Amino acid sequence: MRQLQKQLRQEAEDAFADGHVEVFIGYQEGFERARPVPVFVRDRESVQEMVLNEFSGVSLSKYLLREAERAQEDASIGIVARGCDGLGIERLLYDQCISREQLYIVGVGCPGVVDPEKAAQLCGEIPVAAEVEKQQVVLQTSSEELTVAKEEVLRDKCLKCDDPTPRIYDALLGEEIQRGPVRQNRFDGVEQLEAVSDDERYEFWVRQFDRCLRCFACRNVCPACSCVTCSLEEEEPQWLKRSTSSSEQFMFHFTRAYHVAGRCVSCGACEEVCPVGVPLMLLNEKLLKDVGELFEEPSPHLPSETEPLGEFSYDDPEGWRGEAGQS
Amino acid sequence: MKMAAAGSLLPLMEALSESNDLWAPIVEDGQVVFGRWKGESLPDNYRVTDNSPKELLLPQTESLMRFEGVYDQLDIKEEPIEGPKVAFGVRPCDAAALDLIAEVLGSDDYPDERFGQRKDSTTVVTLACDEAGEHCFCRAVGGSPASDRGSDIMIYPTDEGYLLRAVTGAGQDILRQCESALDPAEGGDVESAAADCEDIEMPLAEEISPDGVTEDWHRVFESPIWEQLAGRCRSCGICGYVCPTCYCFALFDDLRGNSGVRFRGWDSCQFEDYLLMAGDHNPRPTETERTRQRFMHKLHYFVSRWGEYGCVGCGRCADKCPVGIHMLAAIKELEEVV
Amino acid sequence: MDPLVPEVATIRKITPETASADVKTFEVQPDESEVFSYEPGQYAMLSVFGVGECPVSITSTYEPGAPLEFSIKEVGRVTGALHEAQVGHKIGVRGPYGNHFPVKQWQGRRLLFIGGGIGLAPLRSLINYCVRSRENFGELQLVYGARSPKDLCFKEELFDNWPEVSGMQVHLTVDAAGDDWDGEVALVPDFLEELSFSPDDTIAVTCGPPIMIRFTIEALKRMGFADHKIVTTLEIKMQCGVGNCGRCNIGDKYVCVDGPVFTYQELSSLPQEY
Ligand code: SF4
Ligand code: SF4
Ligand code: FES
Repeated sequence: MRQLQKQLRQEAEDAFADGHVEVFIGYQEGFERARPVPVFVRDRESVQEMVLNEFSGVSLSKYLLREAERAQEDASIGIVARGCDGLGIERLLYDQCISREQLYIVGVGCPGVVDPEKAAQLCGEIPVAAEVEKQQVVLQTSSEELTVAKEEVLRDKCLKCDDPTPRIYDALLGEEIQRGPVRQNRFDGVEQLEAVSDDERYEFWVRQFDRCLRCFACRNVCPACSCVTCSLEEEEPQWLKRSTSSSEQFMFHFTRAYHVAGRCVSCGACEEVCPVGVPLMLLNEKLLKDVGELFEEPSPHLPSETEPLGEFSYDDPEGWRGEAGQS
Repeated sequence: MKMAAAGSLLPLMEALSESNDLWAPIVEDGQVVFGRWKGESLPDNYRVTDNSPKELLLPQTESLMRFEGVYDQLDIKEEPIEGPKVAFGVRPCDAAALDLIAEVLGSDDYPDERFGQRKDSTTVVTLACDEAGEHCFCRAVGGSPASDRGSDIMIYPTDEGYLLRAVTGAGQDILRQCESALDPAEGGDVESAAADCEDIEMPLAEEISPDGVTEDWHRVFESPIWEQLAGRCRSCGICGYVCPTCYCFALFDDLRGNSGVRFRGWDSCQFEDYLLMAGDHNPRPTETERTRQRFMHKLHYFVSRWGEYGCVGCGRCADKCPVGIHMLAAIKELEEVV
Repeated sequence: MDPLVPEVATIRKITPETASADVKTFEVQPDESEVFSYEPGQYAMLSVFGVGECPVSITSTYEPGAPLEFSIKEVGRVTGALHEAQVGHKIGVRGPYGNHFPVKQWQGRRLLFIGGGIGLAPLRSLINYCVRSRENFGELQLVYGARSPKDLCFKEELFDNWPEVSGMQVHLTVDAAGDDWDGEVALVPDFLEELSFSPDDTIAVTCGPPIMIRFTIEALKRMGFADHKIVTTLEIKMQCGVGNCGRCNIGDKYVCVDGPVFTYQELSSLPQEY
């Protein structure tokens, strides 16, 4: 990773030198060692602040929406993208929120990101550094070195990731990591929940949703949530009441999930930011699984021209309302 | 002064739950949350719960009144308040936070009745800290891991077991109720137990303190750090909603047919529409003004109105912010940059 | 009773103020109690049940037994719902809230009122207060403007009542007008400067749209008014009106309880977040 960080800085510096980009979205050191934070580098000198390490994994793609809005017309935006952010970027591209020409994507073949909490549990303190190897992770604390299995310390979403390298990029750091076969365990959680009785399942979700604080972090970070006015905040008609009764919490969570159904890229950003551990991916995955089965899509989370729930065609078998089809 | 029987808090919690509505830190789907007690021991090694106990006194949303009719034949009924509660295993920072909110909501001309009634009818049993968490910094903002502010009963962990001290009359009453789960504290020394908690290591608080950066608010207000910090802000409500002292609320109506409810519920100054007014005018239009507002409120405006920081150092916002907008990080940067 | 729970009140009378009726004055009487006593500059929270609440300045002047009056422009959801209400309909009222114009301190002074559009609503309460105890104040000057003659509010007072008050002068202007207007056509701040008033022993009170207030204050300063003798009212989003909900702060001041009346001197020491 050290090597990749060096390359990244070089790529970013070149991009500024060529006048390629106006801003470069990446990571910088945070207040806490194991929590690098997003940074928006706006000049060549500041490129040296950028870091890329085993902990820098906060989802970045959604920032493109805001940066594109604020950028000068023809200015480009640079961004460093692991596989998950690559899919987030694709989502924004397919939804026409940003244009490919506007972007300078520096991809990373990603071996997985270390979860600082899991690491702290294992080490008794937050490690200073980490190295992700093929099967294992070496954690470095102030006093010792600890080698643990990947399963124990990578973020949950990394353990389920099929897409470690972005599918689109302008430059790639390190080796491309081959896209794995669709993981067998991918829908384990969904299947377990499908197996229990309706009542039990209902009780499970009531408990999850009742914890929800309605902080909207999950929506704000989601690259598929790009509506100009979110229907959850519309006042007339007010689809979602602001009361947090169980029924309104269901309304909130089902609306969120259904609005990204067939468009969710499975980047895991929503679940990751949730402060109270609502298993949002479980809901997203249920919809992905159903879309996959109903439309025979092996990888329903990958954006494409012909998404089962997102394709608009003039000869839609269901027809169009009014004359709209012809214009 | 009493001692919890058998070196465990479980019998005490059981005794308390017999005639009280008991709330405590519980484990739910792997998360440690403050919720209605379900019969388990306190979770191991918890510092603060994900949500703060403020929601017992100031619920996420609550109905203030119900009404029949919109323009005609109106009949309004105030919503009654739930019965008394015991909040057990509260941390000193969170107990102090309840007191802090009470300064605002309980003050002078317009005391908030719902909050006040709940505050009066909630008995707070606080567990002093024998270890600071990764994000704890209560001492930097005038608190202490042994503080009894806002508490009715203090529990101090010691090597011999848990020492209990009633702080208020209400605390005394509750202790009397559960005699059976208590032993006399022979030889127990509450002072030294408290002093031990008082002195635990708290690296963050040793490093950084807001005291130096809050005097000249103009300079703090104009500091370039806000724009830097806010660049990564996602405008979500996490910091305000997990914070035990953030009390801002909104009022909103819910109408179905001809019957309606007026609710009061949490709101966050970090949301884009918090100050959005008719005609699309927004006095705090970007993340920069909104982030600054949150810090200025805690570090300056609250001090100027109430004479103390609006933060108790629980560290939740630092822990939960997905992009590391950390209370102490901001203070540290202010010290360096201002 | 919880301070957030309103009293039910009945709308007794509705008077359209402008030709398009985008401003209407509502006479309101609480159902269960007497009208509370209040001072000029204070406001109340009005609700339409099922829609919500908003702060509205009280435009009447307190008199025991007299109803409350509110002049309301339709700008958002709640004011929209108020505009749909009919005579006899019920609304919620709670108040009075906020500070007020310090009329006691102003005894013997000359007062210069400068209003724009619906901004005359809070001034009207003040003006009628001064008119009623005329002997307590020096000369009264009103400079008032609206977009067009059709948009002038409180016409009866503007044209019939106030000009008759001894020692009071009314100066009207509009931004644009047709042939039916032979008065001044100018923006309020420009007209004000053209009229030019002496700052001696005078308090200037200005209410109106933010942009007008800004230029008015600049004009007043050029005319020699000291910051503490320029008084205005602020409008900001509110929820509780009683200093509890945290919505309305500007720096360490809460507009709902510390305002809405501020001197320009006070405003200059606050962040420009309004
Ligand atoms: S991030 Fe979590 S707490 Fe926040 S709105 Fe989403 S599910 Fe609720
Ligand atoms: S501001 Fe942060 S650290 Fe301070 S009391 Fe609130 S959540 Fe805790
Ligand atoms: S409106 Fe609630 S504090 Fe001012």
